[in-house]
Amino acid sequence: MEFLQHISASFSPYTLAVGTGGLFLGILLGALPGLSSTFSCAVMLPISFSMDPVPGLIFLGTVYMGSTYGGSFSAILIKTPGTPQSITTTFDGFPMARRGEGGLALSIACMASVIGGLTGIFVFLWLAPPLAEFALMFGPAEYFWLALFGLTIIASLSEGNLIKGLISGFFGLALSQIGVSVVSGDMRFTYENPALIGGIPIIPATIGLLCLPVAIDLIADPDHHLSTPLTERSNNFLRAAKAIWDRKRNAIQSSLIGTLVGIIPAAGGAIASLVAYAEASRTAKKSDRFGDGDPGGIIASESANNATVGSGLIPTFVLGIPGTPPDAVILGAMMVHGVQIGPKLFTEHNDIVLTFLSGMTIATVLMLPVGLFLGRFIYSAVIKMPKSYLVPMVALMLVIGSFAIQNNYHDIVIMLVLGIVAWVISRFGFPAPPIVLGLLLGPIAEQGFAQALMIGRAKDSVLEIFFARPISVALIGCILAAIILPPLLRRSSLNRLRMKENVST
Amino acid sequence: MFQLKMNIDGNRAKNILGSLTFGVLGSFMFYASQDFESAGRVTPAFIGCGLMVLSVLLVLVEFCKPELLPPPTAITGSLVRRSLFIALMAIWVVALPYFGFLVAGCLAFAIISAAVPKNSNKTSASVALNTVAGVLTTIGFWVVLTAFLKVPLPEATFF
Repeated sequence: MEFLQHISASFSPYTLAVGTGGLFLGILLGALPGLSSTFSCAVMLPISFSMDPVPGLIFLGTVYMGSTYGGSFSAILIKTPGTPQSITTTFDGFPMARRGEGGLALSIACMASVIGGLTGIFVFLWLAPPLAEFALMFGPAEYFWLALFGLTIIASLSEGNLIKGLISGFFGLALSQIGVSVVSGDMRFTYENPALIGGIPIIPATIGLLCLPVAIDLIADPDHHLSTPLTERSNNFLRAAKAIWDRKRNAIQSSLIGTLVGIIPAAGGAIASLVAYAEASRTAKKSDRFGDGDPGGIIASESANNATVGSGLIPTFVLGIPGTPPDAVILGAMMVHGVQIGPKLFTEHNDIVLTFLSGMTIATVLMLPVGLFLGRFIYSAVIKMPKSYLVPMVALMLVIGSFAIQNNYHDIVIMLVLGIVAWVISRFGFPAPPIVLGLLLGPIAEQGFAQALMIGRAKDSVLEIFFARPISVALIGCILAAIILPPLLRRSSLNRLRMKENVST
Repeated sequence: MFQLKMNIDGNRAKNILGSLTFGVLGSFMFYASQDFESAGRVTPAFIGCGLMVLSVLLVLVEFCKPELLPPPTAITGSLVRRSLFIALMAIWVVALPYFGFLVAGCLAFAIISAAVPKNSNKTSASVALNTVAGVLTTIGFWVVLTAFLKVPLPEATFF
């Protein structure tokens, strides 16, 4: 009831303008290949300081949400996910765009983002304190298994190429070993090169591994990379709504998965969208179409990664532990505004929390018109854009995106080198997405493994630490299922198909 | 039939070469990790072993059950233009610290734009239009990022 009062209070023109402005800027920044949610929140941070605490936080929150959704634009239209959380959106989004359904794909992504975003916020509203306690149940061993789970999923999604997917994942893990060891402080594989001491930075690496190969292929032929739209654009809203209604279970399930993964600090949107995508493709009726332009893939990916926005703020607000880099930016903004973080926030500053959440709710709903409008505009722009402009534009964005986060020239070099490597190995059938996941999950896995090992040795119960805790057991079960189930399911569906053919002949 | 055999052989060569490369990388990681402290050695050694095992597995599957390894998507379009693009990107990246974002960006935009193949014949007007568009776009990004968003971009050291 109190929340409803805050909702009505949030309908002030100022809050609406701040929320809409944040969404607009966030979507535009996120839509540019290479510019991530972290970048968007970081560059908008000084603007939020000129506002009061609540509108400032709403502004940053909506920038975060808008940029997360905006990442789907480049993922769908140019197959260049600027951030790891949009990797799975490319699997089905780009095939849809290629066959002339880019507008529909963007509309589906927008609606799924709204569903996911609202789920994350409502879970935050009603379940923040108990869920924060759940996040604290994740010890080092659980983080280790969670990282392995993420890798297993991405490898098993590499259709028909489990071994090659795993090799790519291990290659990503190998890249994550470059730099100062998080465990021992060793300089590993740096060869006295100062550019490598800090390790391979994730954003330039993602841009290089996933976006540069696309730019390399774009220049190869004169044909436009997207087909012209199949249908009238005005139909897209209704068609997208129908596509989501037909897959409502997928949307709800993926939003809940995103919410759950989002509250685990450091897990973030990449793992959330991966887990949701794998689960959606496993439970879908026509699973064969996943990866080939199925709207269900976009729904799973986008609803899950936007659900992490709200739920990722739970550990940030309740425990003061930022779940993702954008959460850390928001945490910093709260501290500058003098808002005390921690359990007391919900008792002493409950009005701030409720007004913030109500503002975020309204802004998320506003994402529907804003997102659909911008989606239509950007889609028609990309469709009409000549290739002689598109290719150098993408190249320019790759350079800016690699440089902007750390203002480091070496990041551009790393982007270029990894991009060329990714293009070459993709010619050999080794997929690039598992490399990014390996790079992202490597430090989490190593730190979790080493810490769990040390705790286990100190308590003389190494096996117990790794294999006897309930969350670890559940994650091990998920890993085994991710490895064993896909080939079994494929074999059983093949057998069924053969039996049908035998009956018909 | 001959074409099919050629494809299978090509795919086999790619898989063996790929597994050899990653196998060598894995063994290098394993041996290099022996120089690290015991806590920092475990993960790279494990990853090295993993890469070696998976590489051997890939070769075994290639020889025993090659149908499990579908060939990668065939390359279409010009390889020369791809190589040219990579070379242009490399030159751009090398030139950035000397010429700065603005000059290097404008030049790279115009040159890459000219390198993109077109279905219709290129006219001097279309080339000029692309160059102007490239210059305006680069300046636009530079102004927005440096002046409004306060994001510094590489500056020229050459002049």
